[in-house]
Formats: sequence, C-alpha cells, structure tokens
Amino acid sequence: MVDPFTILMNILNPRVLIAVIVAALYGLFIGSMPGLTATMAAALLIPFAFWLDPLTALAMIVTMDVLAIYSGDIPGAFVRIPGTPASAAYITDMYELTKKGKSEIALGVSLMASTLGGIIGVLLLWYFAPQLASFAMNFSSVEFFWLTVFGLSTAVLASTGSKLKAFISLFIGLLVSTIGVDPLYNVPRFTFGISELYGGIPFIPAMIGLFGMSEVIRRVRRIGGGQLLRIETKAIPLIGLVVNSFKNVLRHIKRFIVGSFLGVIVGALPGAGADIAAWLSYSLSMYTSKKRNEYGKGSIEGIVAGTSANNAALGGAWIPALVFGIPGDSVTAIVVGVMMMKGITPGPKIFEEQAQLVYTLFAIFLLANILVIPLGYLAIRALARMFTRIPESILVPIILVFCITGSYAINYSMFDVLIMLLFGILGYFMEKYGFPLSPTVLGIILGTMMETYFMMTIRKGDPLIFFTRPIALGIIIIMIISWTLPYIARKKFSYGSKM
Amino acid sequence: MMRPNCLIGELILGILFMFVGIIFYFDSQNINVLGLGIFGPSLFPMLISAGLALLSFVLVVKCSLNIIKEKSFTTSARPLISLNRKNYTGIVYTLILIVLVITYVYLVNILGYLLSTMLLTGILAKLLRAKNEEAILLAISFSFLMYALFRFILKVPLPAGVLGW
Repeated sequence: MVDPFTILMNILNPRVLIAVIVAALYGLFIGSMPGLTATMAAALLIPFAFWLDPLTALAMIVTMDVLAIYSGDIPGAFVRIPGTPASAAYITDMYELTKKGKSEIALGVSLMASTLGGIIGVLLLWYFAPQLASFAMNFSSVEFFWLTVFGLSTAVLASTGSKLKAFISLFIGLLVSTIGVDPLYNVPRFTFGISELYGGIPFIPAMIGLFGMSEVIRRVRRIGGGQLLRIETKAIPLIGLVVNSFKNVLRHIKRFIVGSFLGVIVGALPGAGADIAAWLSYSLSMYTSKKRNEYGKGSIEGIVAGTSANNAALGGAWIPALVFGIPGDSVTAIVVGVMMMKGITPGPKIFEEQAQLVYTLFAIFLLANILVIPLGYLAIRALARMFTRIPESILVPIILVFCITGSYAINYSMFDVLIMLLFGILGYFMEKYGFPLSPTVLGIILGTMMETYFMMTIRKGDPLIFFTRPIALGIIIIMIISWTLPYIARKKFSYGSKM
Repeated sequence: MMRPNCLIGELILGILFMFVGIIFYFDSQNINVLGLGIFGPSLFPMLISAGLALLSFVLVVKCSLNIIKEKSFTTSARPLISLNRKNYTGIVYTLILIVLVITYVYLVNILGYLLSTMLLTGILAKLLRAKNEEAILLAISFSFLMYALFRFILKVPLPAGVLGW
C-alpha cells in the first residue's frame, strides 16, 4: 500500500490539479450536450495525453468521465434528451418532475446519488479490485447471454402498461440491432442495398430520435394546436440542495445501496458499462417497488436507483481494465490504450509495480466524485435558468439543432440524422399508443451482445450448456425469482388485505 | 370519456409491426448462410422477427376483438384523428417540421452547416410564432455558436457546402 501522504502530494501537484479542474469542466460540458458521449470526449483527450505524464493524462480522463456521466442527466431533466446513454434509463422520471416544477429536486437527487454511488464504486475498486476481477473472469458466453436476457426481461416486466406492448417494443429494438453486418460471420443483413446500413443502426442517433426528436415533434404539434407549456423552477441554495438531496437518498437507501453494488458488478463485466448498469438497476428497482406506479411519472426512487448505478459502474469498469487489461467499457478501452502508450502494462502486477500511480488515480476518482457537487450545482443553476426562461418558440429549434448535430457528430454522417428523424417519428407514435420506449432502447443496446453470446454458445453444439454452468444456473434462478417473487408477494398481500 | 380498451391507432401500429416482422422473417431466409446450416447469421434475426410477428398478431387480434366488442367501431367510432381545427394545425406543423429536417439533410451539403442551420432555426422559430427579431437573432447567434463549438473546439468536420462554411 502506498503512503497516503505521497498520494496527497501527488494530487496537490499544480499540474495535476489544473488538469483535473479543466477536465471536470470539459466533462460537465460534454455531458450536458445531447449526443456527445464520454467516449468521444475521452478520444478527444488522447492528443493531450500524448504530451502529458501518465498520472496527469489518466487523471484527466478519469475526471472527465465522472463529470460527463453525471451531467448527462441535466438535458434529460429539461428537454428529455439524455446527455449520455447512461442517463437514458430514468430521464422520463426527471423530465416529469421538471414539468411539475421540481427540476432542481430531480437534479439534486441525481447529483447526490451520483456522487455517493461513484464514491462507493471507487472504494470497492480500491479494496476489492483483484477479487471482483477474478469473479468477472469466470463469466463465459453462457453467463453473458443469461445476463443480457435478465437485463432485457427486467426492462419489459418493469415497464408500466401493457406487457404485450412492452414485449413488442423490446423485439423491435432487438430486430433493429440485427440490421447491418452480423457480429460473427461479417455477413450483411437487412441492408436493402443501402451502404450506410452495413455498419448497423447507430445507437446514439436512434436514442436521440426516440427520446429527443419525438419530444420535438410532440412540442411542435402542441404549439401548432395553440397550447404552450410553461415550466417553472424554484432556485434552491447549494446547502439546501445538498441537505434535501441527501435526505432523499437516505429515504431510498435500499435502492441506493443495491444500485451502487449492482453498478460496480455490472461495470466490472467486460463490455457492459454505465448505461447497462443504470437500466438494470432502474428496472430491478421498479419491479420490486411498492410504488411502481410512480415509475416513469417522476419517481425519485427510480432516479436514485439508476443514477447511483451508472456512476458506481465507472469504478467497476476499471477493475478488469487494471487487473487484466480488458476494458469494462469504451472509456476504459481508451484508458488501456493511453496506459500502453505510456509504457504501462495493465495486469495483476500493476498494483505492485505501479502502486503509486494506481492508488493516486483511485484518489483522483474520489476527488472527481466530490467535485460533482459544486460543479454540478453550478451547471444545474445555469441550465435551469436557460431552459426555463427561454420561450418554447426559441427552445424547440435549439433542441432540434442539438438532436441533428449530436446525431451527425457520431459518424460525421447526415444519414444518421435521417435515422434520428425516423426513430423520432416511431418514438412519437409508440408513446402515443402506449408502447414503452425503454425496452426498444435496451434492445438496440443489448441486441448485438445478446446475439454474439447466443451464437457463441449454440455453436458449441450442446444446447444443455445454457443451463449446466453453475454461475449461469445462478443467474437463471435469480432471474426466475425476480420475475415471480413480486407477483407472489403481491397476490399474497392482496389476498391478505381481502381478509 | 372513458378510454376504449384499444384505439384504432394501436391496431394500425400492431398491423405495421406484424408486417415488419413478416418481411424481416422472409428476408432473413435469403441471408447468405455460408454452408453453416441453421446456426448461421440468419438464425437470430429469424427468431426475433418471428417473435415480433407473433406478438404483434396477438395484439392485432386482441385490439380487433375489443373494438368489435365495444361496438364503437361502427356506432360511436373514435376516428384515428379527429379533424378539428387545433388537431389539423398540429398535424400540419408536424409535417412541416419533418419536411424541414429532410430538406436540411439534403441542403446542408450544398449550403454548408452554418447557412443551413441558420435557415432551419429561423424558419422553425418563425413557424412556432417567435417574433421576427427573436427568430433572426436566434438563427444567427445560435448557428454561429454551434458552428464554432463543433468546428473549432470539438474538431468535428461539419459539412462545408460550396461556400466552405
């Protein structure tokens, strides 16, 4: 273990401190811009990383990542466009609270749950990285397949309204994920002669369309019909916001703890990440909640579950990256690249050979999570003022340009803008007729992963392998319990109440 | 008024999704399987499209039965779109928005990002009843801001058009 004083001195190095503050503002800005992802922001930092020492370079990426994932909630709350995919799971709740004039409560809760969830993620990373990594490495294609099935099923079962429509919504997402070159054989599918479809339907434009563009269409239609929406907001001072938000997190402490631990575990699985962690935690929380009717209509409980998981997942994603050099998500993939560029080889020995660097980075992770509170607060105040004071006739064109430019900026392709528009129209009609959007989004995110693991497993020749591995069996049992238990409990409860 | 169990819009969406499932199912049979038999690249899409078609079929049957049962289809029919003046204007505005975005996508390679975005924001703001000066101010200032942000700070190569910006 490295001397804490040495870690402190490393952090207080002016070059590191300046880099952390600049990266924090940069992350805050990127996260607040719909369509710009933390991955893109990390990629843009590589040229700077080349000229900096390893600690400063990695500190910049860590800080940017933490702040970007938090601030992704901000545009979600005001215009229902998730700043980053990690916020998509619970933005409807944040937006509904905003419509009730409670935007600062929604953002305050997400601020506090993000900070505390992120801190738990770092602490688990600090103390249990090797153990968690070896657990994650026991996962084969079978376990990953069942994990994706688990995630998808909870999204359907947790959605409000008709389950049949939720299943249809999920299958639409899964079908969309099969468009393009298939993940195992490189054979094009459903491209209909359009070369742009060879790479598949890009996830970000589809998500911006489903959530953001559909909202633009709804607003334009409403304004056309002569109705104007006025969003009020109440400014809360920093101390009040922190205290109230802390109380709100304490009120939902079980959701917070489950969300944070689930976030770390999902984050530690290679290829998963903050977005999947948030979906899983939100869905599980809703499915097991007594107040599940409030989900999707402004549930603070749901926001706590989702946002604690996505920030905790950031710490988790570092576990396989540091211990085995296998990235937990796309940002840690860039981190591994930067490490290699600096001559640092990730592996179990990194905790001995680069102990000072690794533990200083963990401390910077903690610092970045603490920075979320003051910087996040400033961003909430500034953006709340902007979004609530600008009239809709000006705000709607602004949202539209963000939707268009954010969709374009992923692949520098105007075709992606058309994809965004198409999904916007689809999302508008789906919501209008009671088809939940979340299963579609999750289907698009997890579809390729699910197909890859399904095909990898089925090609082994013995279908029984899906059920014979101990961890896979464990996931199946947990899944069946989580499907049936709430129904049994509810039936028992309602039977009891009739007595 | 109580919401009927199934709206005609839901029925139409159900039929649409069912057809999408059927089309994808048959199209997936044409995927080159490279002699891999059933375990080729067509297996997963076949399962998913069949699932979508089946689930949508169930929805269509359910909706049809509900509509027939309520007798609302023939007597007190709820049309898909009730064409009162407010609804009509709303639909026209939505169609204009869609046309604006499609036109933007094709125009941006000719006029460039800056000019196209100015036109898009200005026209949309005016459509949504902003004052003339507000629409012009928004079109110029916001387009320049986005251009500078993406072009110079985020280094995103925006469409340049014939004018180069």
